[in-house]
Amino acid sequence: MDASVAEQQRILASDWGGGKSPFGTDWPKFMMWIFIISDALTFAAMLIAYGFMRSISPSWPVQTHVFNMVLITFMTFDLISSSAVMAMAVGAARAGDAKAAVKYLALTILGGAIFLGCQVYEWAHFIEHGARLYHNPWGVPQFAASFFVITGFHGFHVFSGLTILAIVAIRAAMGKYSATSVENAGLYWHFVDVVWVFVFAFFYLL
Amino acid sequence: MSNDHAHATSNKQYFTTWCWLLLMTLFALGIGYVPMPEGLKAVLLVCTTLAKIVLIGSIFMHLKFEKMNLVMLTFSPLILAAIMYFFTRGETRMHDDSHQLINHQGEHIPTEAEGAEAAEGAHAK
Repeated sequence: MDASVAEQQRILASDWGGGKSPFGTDWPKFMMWIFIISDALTFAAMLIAYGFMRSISPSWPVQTHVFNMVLITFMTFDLISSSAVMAMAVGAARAGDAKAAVKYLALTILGGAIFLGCQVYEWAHFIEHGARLYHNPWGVPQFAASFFVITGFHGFHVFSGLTILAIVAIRAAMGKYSATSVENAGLYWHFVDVVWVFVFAFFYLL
Repeated sequence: MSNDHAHATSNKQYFTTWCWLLLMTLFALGIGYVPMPEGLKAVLLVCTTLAKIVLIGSIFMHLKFEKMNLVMLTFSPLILAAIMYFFTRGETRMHDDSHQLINHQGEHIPTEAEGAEAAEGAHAK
């Protein structure tokens, strides 16, 4: 009997005993993490499907021959840089420095907009060479289809991120913001960066 | 003043992380261009990508300051991706020598073995 009471007390004192967050976060941040994890599963499924399609295809174009790798590397550099600046915006917001937070948020938005511009250029160039969703000059329909779906889905995330960041930046400039809102927007932006790291390695280089 | 100091300290760490990420990106780019067996290239790219993810997650997303319960939760997509990969691997043509690579003009790119065979043939003639 004593042992069961001690066991009950041990459970109540643990992270899972109730009355506190087992994950040590507030709800908005925890929900953002849940969203990021579910979205990561979607991208993981897409990249695995891409790998499967590619490996069952009798032939596949060499990506470094097809894509402008200087542009793709610049896009990667740009997104990593904007992610670093976003981390600085979160640091400034946590320290209560609204002016610095707005400045870093604006730089992050600029980096994201440049990335999106490069992606539009890359799409236009690819389409100009005859690539369509269901056929392309290389004779491997899945190649262009996977390009449009994966980079398009990621580009849509970048666009959504820019919208979220713009709202947070405007609110911060008006003095109506919380460090949590900047941090949550930052988590989403870093996630967009993480997805691109996978796309860069597995779609463009492998 | 203390806030400024806190910014300077953390910003320095962000800058260091940024430098490492750029170095790893250049390394990954090098792997993409250097001729090597596909298997080795895949392993190196996966390792480089995971190292980048760990850096972004721990430093930029502050996971190194979070509770282990949350950190473990973030690994679930990677575990499920690995399951999906090994689940479908048996049906792929990874060890199929008839798999061809083509260039931007749709021409066949010879594999290393085919290249060596062609060279031997030319030498014999």
